Formats: sequence, C-alpha cells, structure tokens
Amino acid sequence: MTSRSAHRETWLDEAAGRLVRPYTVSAGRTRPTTAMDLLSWVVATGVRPRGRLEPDHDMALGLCGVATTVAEVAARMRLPAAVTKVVLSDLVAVGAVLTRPPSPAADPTDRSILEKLLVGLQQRL
Amino acid sequence: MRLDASDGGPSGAGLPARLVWVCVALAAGVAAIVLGAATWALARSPGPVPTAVGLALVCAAAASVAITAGAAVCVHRLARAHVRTTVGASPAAGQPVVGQQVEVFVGLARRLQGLVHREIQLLDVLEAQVEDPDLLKGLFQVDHLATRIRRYAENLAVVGGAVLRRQWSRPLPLVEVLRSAIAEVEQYARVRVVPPVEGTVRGHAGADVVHLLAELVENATAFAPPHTEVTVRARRVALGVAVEVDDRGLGMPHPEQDRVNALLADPGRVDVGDLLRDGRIGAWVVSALARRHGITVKLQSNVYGGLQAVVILPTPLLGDLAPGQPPAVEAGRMPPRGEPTGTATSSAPVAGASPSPVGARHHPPAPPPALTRVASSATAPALRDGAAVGQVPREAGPAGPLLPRRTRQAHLAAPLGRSRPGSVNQRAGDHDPMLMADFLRGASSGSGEPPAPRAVPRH
Repeated sequence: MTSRSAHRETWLDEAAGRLVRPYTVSAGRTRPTTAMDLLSWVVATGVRPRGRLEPDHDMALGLCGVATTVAEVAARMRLPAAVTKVVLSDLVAVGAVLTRPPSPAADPTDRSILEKLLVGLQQRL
Repeated sequence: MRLDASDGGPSGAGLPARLVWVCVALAAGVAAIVLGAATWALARSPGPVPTAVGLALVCAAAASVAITAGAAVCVHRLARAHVRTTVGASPAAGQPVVGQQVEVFVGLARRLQGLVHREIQLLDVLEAQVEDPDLLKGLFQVDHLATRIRRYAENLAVVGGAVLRRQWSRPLPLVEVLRSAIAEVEQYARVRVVPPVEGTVRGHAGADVVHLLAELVENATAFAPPHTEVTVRARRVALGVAVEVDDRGLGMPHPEQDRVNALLADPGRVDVGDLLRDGRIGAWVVSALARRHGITVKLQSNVYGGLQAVVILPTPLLGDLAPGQPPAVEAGRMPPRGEPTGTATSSAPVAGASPSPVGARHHPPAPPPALTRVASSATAPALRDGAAVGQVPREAGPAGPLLPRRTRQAHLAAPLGRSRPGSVNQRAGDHDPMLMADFLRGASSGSGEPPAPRAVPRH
C-alpha cells in the first residue's frame, strides 16, 4: 500500500502540470492543412489577420517574426510538434505565415538528423 | 435546472445506480478507444518507439478504467451520504457515521486525483513523442477523458471539503483559466472564448474556478443545438471580473431560472434529495464551489433566446500580473514559495479512524431560517461568507489557503486606485468599453444630468 503522505502531497506550479491541455490548442485537430515537417522554415509575411488571434496563434506568429523552423516554434511554445504544425498551418491559411521546405543542407529524409532533433526537443520539453 | 446532463429517475436510488452504469460505460469506451489505438500502432509499425507507445497506451487505458470505475463508486456513495445528511429522518443521530463516510470518500477522491494526475503526466510525455496524426488523435481522446475524470475527482474532493492538490503560487491568466475550463467539457470544440480576456485569478482558487466554469459551459453545450457555438466572455466590472457563458439553446422558463438561482445563491435552502432525483448535481457543485470563494453565479435569458450564466469573480480572487509577464506555462518555473501544508489538513484518516473533530466540522447543524437570505445584492458574497449553511465547509482546513478577510466596500479601493488593467496594453483603434464608459460619464456630467452610476468608495 502506498504511504498515506503520498495521497496528501500537493502539486505546486510546474508539478501541477500545464493548465491548457494540448488538444484544446488545436481544437482536437492533429492533421495540418499545409504539409510541413519539423525542419520546414516558417516566416511571418507581415499580414495581420483580421480580428484577434487565439493566444497560441498569436504567440506562434510572434515567434515567426524572423525565419525559423517548425521544431524551434514547437520547442518555444512547449507544444507537441503535431499541434504546432496545426497552429502554423492555420496561420498559413490566413496568409500570415509563409512556409518553405527545409534548406537543401538539411535533407528531410535524413533520419539521423530528425532523430537528433527529436531527442533535443524531448530534452527541452 | 438543467445543470448536469444525467437524467432524473423516479426514485433517489435510481440516479446513483445509473451514474455508476454511465461511468462503467465511459470506462469501457476509454478502454475500447485506447486499446484500438494501441493495437493499431503495434500492427502498423513494429519499431521500438511505437511498441513502447502502444504499451504505454495500454497502461493508460487500464488506469482510465480503474479511475472511472472508482470515481463512479465514490460519487455514488458520497451522494447517498449527502442525501442522508440532509433529508434523513434523524440527522442528529446519523451524523457521526455520515461524517466518517465523507472522510473516507474524500480520502478515496484524493487517491483518484493522484492516479489521474500521473496518467495525465504520462500522456504529456506520449503526446510530445507522437507525430502520427491518427495516433495523436487517439491520445487526445484519452487525454480529454482523463482531464474530465480529473475534474470530477477534484469536484468530489472539494464537495467533501478537502484542499486542492493542484495549486499555483502565482496568479493564473484568466484566459488560461477559461481555456482550461473548456478543455474539461465534453464538446469543447464548440466553445469559443471571445477576446480580449484580461486579468488573472489567484493561484489558490485556480482549479476551483476552472471546475465551476466547466460545469456552466458543459451545461450550455449540452442544452443547445449541436451546431451552435457557446461563447465565453470576460469583462471588468465594479465587483471584479464578470465571465459570461452564452448558449443559443431554447433557454429556461423564468420560474425554473428563479429556482436555480435560489440554489446557486444559497444551497442550504434546497433539498439535496430533490436535486439528486432530478439529476441536478451540477448546480449543487457550482453552488458549493462558488460559496467556497465568494463567487456569485446567476442565470438569465440572453438575447439569442438561450441562457446566459454570469459568474462574478470578486476582486479578492483576482491577482495582479504585470503586462508582458510570460504566460502560465512559461512562468511555472518560479521557485515555490509558501508551500501549502496540505498534509496537515482535513483529508484525514482514510479508514478505520475514530470520529474526529474534522469530521464533525463537515456537518454543522441545520441552519436557522433567518440565515437563508436571497443573495442578489452586491453584498451577496459577504452574506454567504457569514452563513454557516449547507454541508460544505467554507474553508479547506486550518492550514489550507485562506481567502483574504474582506471588509464591506473596502475592496473597491484597490482596483480604482491603480491604473485600469482594461486599458493597459491596448492597441490603438481597438474597442475599449471602459474608454466608452468614461466618455459617456464625462458627457453626461457636462450636460448637467446626473452622472451614470459608478462604483466608487464612499468617504
């Protein structure tokens, strides 16, 4: 049996877990409308969509101020990569963000690079 | 009222039994979804990572089933215990036993919280690893179910008077609180938060406010047509922040609204047995959570013909957060301070304990009729604070996070004294309701008419 104190401990701040679950960020969507992978480049076009953006979209757009990769945005937003892609593809759809395939130096089919990136992401997340 | 979707039964015993079946069905659903996803993952790609993911999914499914079934039994028993306390023939004779029972159920609720917390942590790890959209979709469904189970486990603990296990030492952005509440609702994709949402909620009340709003949003989605959306707005008012949940359903007849509002204002006047028979546990939970923090909740018709739930979060419940401070996820790394000593609080010897003063505290004697006042005025929270009615203790325990003591009207000075948060960080050209209000007030005072009413401290 677990000790009694284990049932009484409280979880403070970071230990309490994230307040907004990732599925809420993308409204349950997991499939981006624009094809992109972790090493795709994203950059803001300067077009500001009408109306106010959702907080996560706003934050993602802010991170795209300078050209960056999907993986970088995901790590900074501390969101699963798939959810980040959905958010970014929403921004692409309204013309706020442009996406470009990865630079030739980073071959997207190179599994080892992707795996290294995944490990790095996991460490940051 | 319509709060809580469970159907009413002809007898008091029918509802809990049905509740158990609903939960068992839910558990079976979780098992089916997760096992399906896991099997699919295992069959599709035999690599090491998917295998691990699959196994973890199976574990998550098992945890979900266990937790749901446990929660069902717990809810069942706690509900019966409360019915006995309030509608029993001789409550005085039965109280010590019921008090002990509530302690046991609270203890079980805390265990459920522990399990579901671990389950959600595990899901966080999995979701960060999985990129496959289909597999992630399955994980999200499990995550959603786990989040809803956590909501009920925490409600159960709160109704039993326990201190919350998830706590924050910093104010939480209100927008995150609203989104967290929406995440706990079955049809969360239909709910939209209307920006801007500014302000913060103090950390000690975060989870309670989330669950309170979740009950109201759940109710709104359950009783409005499936293709309509439910909107959530927040705005500054004199007493604090008003959160409005609007649906586009068929609304509620006025006599029914009055009855529910009476319950929300003062649950002590309402027969819990009737509530259980009618399947209105949700309204009672909202009422209990609201009373715990001096929150005012009221239902009214809206312009769409549907129902609007207005929640007034009083100023003492709101925190200060400088504009530009990182959001909750980022700010979570600050060192803990004032760690709540939850170990010394009410939740108790789980089994086999002798009757304790803590148990007795949960069941004050029935209130005298003089205490049951209609709490519709601005002083409603203060009235409720003073009224020792109902089965839920006002405070979590001697070492729990205490609400600040309030004095009448004194809370108005603080927000009026500092710069108005609503106008901070506002981009030029954006709609600012406070600016418009100031303009109208100035115009009316200039034209010699009596100024529009405004909440100012009386000196």
